[in-house]
Amino acid sequence: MGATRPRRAHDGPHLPRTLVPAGRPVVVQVWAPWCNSCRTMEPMLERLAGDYAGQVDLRRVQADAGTSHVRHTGAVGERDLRYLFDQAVAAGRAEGAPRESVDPGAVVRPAAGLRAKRVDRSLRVAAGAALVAAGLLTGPAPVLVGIGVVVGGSAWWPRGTGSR
Amino acid sequence: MSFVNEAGWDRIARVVLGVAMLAVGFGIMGGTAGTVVGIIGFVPLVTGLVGYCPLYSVFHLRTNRADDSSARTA
Repeated sequence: MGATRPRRAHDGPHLPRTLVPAGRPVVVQVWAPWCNSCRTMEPMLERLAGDYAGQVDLRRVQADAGTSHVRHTGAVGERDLRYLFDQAVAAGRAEGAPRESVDPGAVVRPAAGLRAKRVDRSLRVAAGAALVAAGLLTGPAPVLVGIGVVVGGSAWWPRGTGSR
Repeated sequence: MSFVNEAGWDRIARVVLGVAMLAVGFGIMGGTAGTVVGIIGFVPLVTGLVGYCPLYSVFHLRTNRADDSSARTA
């Protein structure tokens, strides 16, 4: 079997909807039977997919399949995750690593964190709105309105440099 | 160190409870009793918004599955 090199993955338009469920970041691994680094990454990706199940989806696309999906991979569909992937690739390049050796954790963990940030922000806005509404409906109660404004406004406060 | 130790459903429940207690305490009841209820309501509200429960930490409990500390670093 003549193993052909896959078409060069490049940043393309959004992935087809069949590959990208709405509202959830996706990590796409392009793999091929002859790709040793793909096999090396596989257990790590599986573990990360399990750890972040429900927050990030893992999709695998075979490079030799010749499907149109391959043209669009290299980056991933969700804009944020694409940005993270490119950043991870750039970081890897800066260290002299080839593009294909991007640490999947460097993409999956921030992707899961992105969704968590959105949930966190939504929660704060909803709680703030509920408190303001309760304050206006039961009084008015300025204490409640004030607390609601603070809570809702905290959704846009810059976070600290949460170090790990 | 894992900072967030509450799952999404846990956080939502805490926020709802906290908002309800604040609304009832400061908005409906009033007076000393209402203030007490409202102040107590801060506890579930803040722990729900922050995602960290000190009691969980003391008993080494968590309701979220993964190491959600990524929520602080993304």
